[in-house]
Amino acid sequence: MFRKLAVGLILIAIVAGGLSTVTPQVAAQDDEFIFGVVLVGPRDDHGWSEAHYNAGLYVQDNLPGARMIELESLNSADRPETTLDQVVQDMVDQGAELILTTSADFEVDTTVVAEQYPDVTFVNVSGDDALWGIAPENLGNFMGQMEYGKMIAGCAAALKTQTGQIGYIGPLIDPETVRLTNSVYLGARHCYEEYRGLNPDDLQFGVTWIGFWFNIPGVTLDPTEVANNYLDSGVDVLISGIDTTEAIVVAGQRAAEGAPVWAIPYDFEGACSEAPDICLGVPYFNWGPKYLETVQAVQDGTWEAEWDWMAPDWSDINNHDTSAVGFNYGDALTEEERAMLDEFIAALAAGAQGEEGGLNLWTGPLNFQDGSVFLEEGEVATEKQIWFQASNADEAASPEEVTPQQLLEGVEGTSS
Amino acid sequence: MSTTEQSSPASHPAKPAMNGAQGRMLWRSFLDLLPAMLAPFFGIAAALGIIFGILAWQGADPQIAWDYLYQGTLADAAKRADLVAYWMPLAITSFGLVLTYTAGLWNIGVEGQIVMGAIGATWGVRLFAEGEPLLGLNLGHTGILFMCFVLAAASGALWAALVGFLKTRGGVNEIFGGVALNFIAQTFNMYLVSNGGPWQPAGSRATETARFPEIARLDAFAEYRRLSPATIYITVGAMVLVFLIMYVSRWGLQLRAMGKNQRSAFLLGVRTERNIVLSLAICGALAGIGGAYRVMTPDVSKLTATPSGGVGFLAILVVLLASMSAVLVPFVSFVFAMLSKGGQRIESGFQWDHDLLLDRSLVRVLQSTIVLMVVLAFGVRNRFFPPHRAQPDTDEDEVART
Repeated sequence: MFRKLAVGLILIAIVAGGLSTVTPQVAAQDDEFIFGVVLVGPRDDHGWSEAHYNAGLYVQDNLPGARMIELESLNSADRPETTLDQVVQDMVDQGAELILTTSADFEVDTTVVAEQYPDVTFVNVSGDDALWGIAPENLGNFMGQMEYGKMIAGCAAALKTQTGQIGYIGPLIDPETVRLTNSVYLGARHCYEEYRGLNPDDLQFGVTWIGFWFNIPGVTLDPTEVANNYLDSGVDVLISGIDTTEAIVVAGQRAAEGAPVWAIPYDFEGACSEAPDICLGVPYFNWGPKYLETVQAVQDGTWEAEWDWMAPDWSDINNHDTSAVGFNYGDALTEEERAMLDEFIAALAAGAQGEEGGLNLWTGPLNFQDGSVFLEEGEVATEKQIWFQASNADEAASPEEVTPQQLLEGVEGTSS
Repeated sequence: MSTTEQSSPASHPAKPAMNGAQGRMLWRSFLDLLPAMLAPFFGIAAALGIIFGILAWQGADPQIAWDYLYQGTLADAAKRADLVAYWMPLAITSFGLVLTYTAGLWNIGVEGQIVMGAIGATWGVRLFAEGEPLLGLNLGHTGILFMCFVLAAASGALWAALVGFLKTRGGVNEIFGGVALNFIAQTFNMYLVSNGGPWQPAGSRATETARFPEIARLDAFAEYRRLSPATIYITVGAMVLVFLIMYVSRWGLQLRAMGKNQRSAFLLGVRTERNIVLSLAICGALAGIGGAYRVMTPDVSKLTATPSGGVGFLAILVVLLASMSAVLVPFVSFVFAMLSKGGQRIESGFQWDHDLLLDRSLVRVLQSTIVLMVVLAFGVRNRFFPPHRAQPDTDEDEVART
């Protein structure tokens, strides 16, 4: 009996301890500018989301008084208990005056939420609502011209491949991902012919879409499995188009077993560190300068809704304070390959700046997978044609009228 | 509390006196009952203790964490409304699971039944509210929403009945059948809304359908734009239904008999095969309605990539912790909903106010720890406060021991 009483008392004490109340706290400071960053994946994914998180840190470092509040992994699988609407309300309650939603997955919801909070500025990264004029006035978009980074990645892969087979791990199918996949392919074809003197038609380039921006077990294809399947089928260079690092991790494991394979990760400057010895380089986003510019504009009251497709700083694509996209060379590149890539980048730079003799890979003739014409012989794609990967993008009055994006002729994989 | 006692086999009250004084029996029965009722709360308190210990180790003041938990859930009306909106799919699914678990069926497939319900509801929107309505029927706002819920319930019920048929006709254990059907439902859902799938709008970059048209959106409360009264009415209706089945109907007794011993129940004339399929189908219908809530709740209003996101699995934990008691389910599911939403607030609160990065898996750890601790609490209860006369024939031994 005594023992029962003792145990009972201990249990009651535990409950009482758990129920004891506390005093509220939280003090807001007046001289702060608070901006919210909503991430679709983890802030430490060594990919897309980490690049955005670091951009927020860059703002904090460069603008006194600026403070980031952030929520990672907002997607219906990781956080079934909340929605963008609720997160935005929390951020606004916390004092956020600018909120960046950093995924295509938030595009529709951001438009809806922006109307709820007309006094807060919203930016949906990678979206294009502001381009069509269908977005509320407090919603803008920006995106980096990653096409160039992807062309360089394709070039590096073509310089290295021994089997002539390159595998691309794609996220889901939309205009952006198809645009980037096609960019890799164009870069690879060009360099396979130009620098290696091989027939680009012999180059095998395949894409497998996993179904989302990163692995969701039981929902998407498993990128680790996709990577392994590629390597088993003779592919020796893996290129990642997803938010996370599976491609380079798997290639690193295979290389450790002695296989001659390489990888090119994506998004995050430091992604090569997963397996530096077999990394050919990484095309990455450097969002910091644009974040800083946006925060300052909102703070000054000079911000206006825009759709900005930010070019690299061609004088130095790896300048952290000026270039929106960059490409870090990986340890697996030889001196000779680096020299070729330098030359390729210089040619792209000349082309992008309209210089004589510059290289523009978006030049016809280019056909889509179904044989339809993207660009006629000698025709150079416009900005919108590249953005949507559709020949009628300039004539369309609304996004619905644009022909659905397609992979280029020669790419193995599905366009829809 | 008499209903609680009935539902939980471990907490049967003492039977009328067989020997000894009447007063002593009452005291004994009270002693029996008290720990049974308190066990889950001890478990939850112990789990909170552990979690706050982990938080303290991470540098987060447990008192502040407790405060955030409160702020994120109950502190103001808007938070309470969001909490209720998240709670309802969990609660209605848990009510359904009470039936199957009582009948001794592990309906792991409930996650897939939620997904099918979500798809069914979206299908309703597409049939009656987008483009040319089916058969030219203009059902109007209420009619469309009614059809969405009917289709959601039907889809969920069908998916669950499939588990039942696989079990009764195909000899496939409901756990394996359920796991497989979960996978198929989720994959089908992804097919619909991703990679240019048939339900993804052309040129869309988000993995979801278009937002439902105005006419097919649930009305929200004037002050709380994310909470719809209709979902509350339906959930209360479902609760009443499950209460009637469990505590009034003969069918509820049959389910209990099956749960104790299916073969004996069968030999005593219970149509076990029919009851397996039927209880699964009712559970599936309720889970399907839960799926409809998930997509129709005003701040979603579209079919997303993972409409359930694990609510079904959470509901399984809820029902296990509630010892399959329909009376306890609303409370236990409410605690779980609070932990999910409060856990997220703890995470963001520490990051936003204190520059302290906590791991986002905190919520999952919290929920799992609670399950563990509650089970442990039941273990402690059985060790130190063994339920008397759970088996009448051991009565003599029990008395002798005390």
